[in-house]
Amino acid sequence: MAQIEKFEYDNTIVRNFAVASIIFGIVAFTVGLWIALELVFPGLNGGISWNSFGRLRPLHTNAAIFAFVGNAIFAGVYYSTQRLLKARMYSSILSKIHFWGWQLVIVGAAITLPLGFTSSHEYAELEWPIDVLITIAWVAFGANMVGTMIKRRESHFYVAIWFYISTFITVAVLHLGNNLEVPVTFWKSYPVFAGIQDALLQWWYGHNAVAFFLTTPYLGLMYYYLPKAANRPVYSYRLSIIHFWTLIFIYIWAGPHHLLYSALPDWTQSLGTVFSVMLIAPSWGGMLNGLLTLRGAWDRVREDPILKFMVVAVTAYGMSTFEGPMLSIKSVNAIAHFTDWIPAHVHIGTLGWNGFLTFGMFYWMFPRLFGTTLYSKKLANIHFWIGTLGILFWVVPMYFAGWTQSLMWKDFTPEGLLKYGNFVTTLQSIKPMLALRAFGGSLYLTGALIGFFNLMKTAQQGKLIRNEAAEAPALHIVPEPNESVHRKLERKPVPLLIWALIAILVGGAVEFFPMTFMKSSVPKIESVKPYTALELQGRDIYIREGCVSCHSQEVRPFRSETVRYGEYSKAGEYIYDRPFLWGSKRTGPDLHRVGGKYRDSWHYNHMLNPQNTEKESIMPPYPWLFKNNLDNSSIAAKIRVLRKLGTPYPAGYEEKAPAEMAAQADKIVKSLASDIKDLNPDELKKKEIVALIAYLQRLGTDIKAK
Amino acid sequence: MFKGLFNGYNWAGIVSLLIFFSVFVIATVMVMMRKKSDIDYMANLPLEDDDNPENSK
Repeated sequence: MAQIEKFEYDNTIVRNFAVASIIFGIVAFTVGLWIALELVFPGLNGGISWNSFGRLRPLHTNAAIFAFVGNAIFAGVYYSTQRLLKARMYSSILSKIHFWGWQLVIVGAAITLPLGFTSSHEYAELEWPIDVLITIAWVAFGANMVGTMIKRRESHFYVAIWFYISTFITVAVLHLGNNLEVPVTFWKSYPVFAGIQDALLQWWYGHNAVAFFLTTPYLGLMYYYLPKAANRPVYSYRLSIIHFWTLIFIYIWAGPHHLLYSALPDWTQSLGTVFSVMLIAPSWGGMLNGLLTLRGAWDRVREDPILKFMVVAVTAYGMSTFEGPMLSIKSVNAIAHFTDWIPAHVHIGTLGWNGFLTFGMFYWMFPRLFGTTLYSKKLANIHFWIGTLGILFWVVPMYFAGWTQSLMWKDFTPEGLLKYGNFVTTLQSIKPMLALRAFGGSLYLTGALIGFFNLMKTAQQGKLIRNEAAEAPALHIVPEPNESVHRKLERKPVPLLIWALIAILVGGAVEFFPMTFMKSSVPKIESVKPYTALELQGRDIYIREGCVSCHSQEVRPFRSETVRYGEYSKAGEYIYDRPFLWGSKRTGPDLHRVGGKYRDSWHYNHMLNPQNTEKESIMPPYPWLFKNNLDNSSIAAKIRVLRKLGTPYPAGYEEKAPAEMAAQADKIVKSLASDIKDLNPDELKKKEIVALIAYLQRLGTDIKAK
Repeated sequence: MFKGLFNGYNWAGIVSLLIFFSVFVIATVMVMMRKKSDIDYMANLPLEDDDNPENSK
């Protein structure tokens, strides 16, 4: 028997991450509620740039995913890893770098996103300096984990540790892959890939951010905290191993289901669908494993709020992992994509699975961190019921909104005309549901505030056990004869890491490389030309304002879409789009064929106040575009970077660009002046609005017969 | 002779089905070969430290 060693668990770092998670959670829910209200009462936008929906929506998603869920993951992982490996975290300095680095990223996001610094890649909007900071914090986390695994006292790794380590390695790969970008200035960059390649890379990332940030670490947490709370081992440990390998291998292929019926090659879409449908097997294996862990303990679920939170969390996981595969079937996707059905699906996951597992975990963990009991079980129960109602009020109206609007988009009269030709009519019909959703969000936020109060009171009545004493025998590995390969793998951190890496790389590589390096995947269209300098500037304003949050640029090959918007979108049209701007939600209409559809003056009036051109519109006004002068200081650098990346701007174009921009702006201002009285053409041509109009009028016109 | 056999098939679908099937089979076989004592030992790892005071009062 090895010698018994005494050591201490570091609880301070766990407390820090937990408190950060709760505080930022409340921020994320509040911003979510605010933007939900902006859709119901557009006046709340107030004509203030940083307060507009397009700029705040990424702040909400980033705060929910990386600040609330991210900090909760780290709290849960640092607590359980130390106990499962019977060792203090490898380095307190790395823990601190990780903690403060991550909080700095969050503060950076909270400042830069409302200012409009965004790459526009969903859930990866942060610009390159913050991406670098994320990398530093993430490496500190990984080094700390692997270091702890090496200096552990327990010979074998419990399955939760595998989930954590696959999270670390996969998120690292995803983050680096989707942020391959070339800086233009300190707060502006262009992605290396364009158009459909950029889209595939983004949704390989986007889907796997869900998989490896919102799912695998939480499954690890489930496999630790659910047995803890129920005080019994997981139902089937064998099933958890199958769950792990099949889930991480299959998940990575599923990204293209975000791009069904798009310009992406068919074979990639098929792979995405097939693997998404398969995902139901490992996901439900894991869900059932979690629920069956409570066999014989269901009577306690009635009493114990912690178990209640966990049961709803695991059930929500089951619901969204059933719904995900169904939504990946092309015929279902044709209805659901771009509608409110998708946010409903996502919020079952974040509010139910992530949110409730987090709260359950914190209610379990806080009394232990502070050497006390929970301040109020009653308040925890109230939190549970208000939160559950909040989720229902959030998602049920959104399901109805999604179905209603989608059916209206596709409805034709017997004469063969669109029944609801005006997009706003379809939006009108779902307004009450948008209001109900905001009510659901306010309930969930109220629950979280009660939870915050309860946990802080718990902390107050106890005292943080900063260094918790523990003892365990020193690590002593005696390999058994005829040991299986997997048994060996379970105690070797680096090979485990490498095998997990191989498992996740296969899918991404098979989908991405042929599409990127086979010329036939993007049939070239001769008439498609690079954006002019002014259009490029307008496009960057479109990116800055987050227009992509509500407007897609991807007309699918359905009659209901080609009649409403025009010719369906082709891969070859996007080859100069860095980044691609297909979007994932149509709160407003698709814009890929908007070029030439309206007069310049329509766009001018519309951006000044959307209700001028469409009384029932819920789009915010953009008065600052009419006040701000267009900043052309980096246009030469932009052209140079894009040329380096493959856009065929002729040599010396950057020198000619200012004159060409002035000429194009003059033309637009002249057309505006002919329609609108009392304009000051000399002032107007310097303004941002002119560049934006130039871009909007260019959209989708390359393949139109002139 | 075999040319017609492969025409018109969705190879992406077939290959992915095969991959799916083999990953599950390999994982299941790997797991079934494990000794019960090993599995029980691993399953009980989270419950080893006796930090189970009453959750709340």
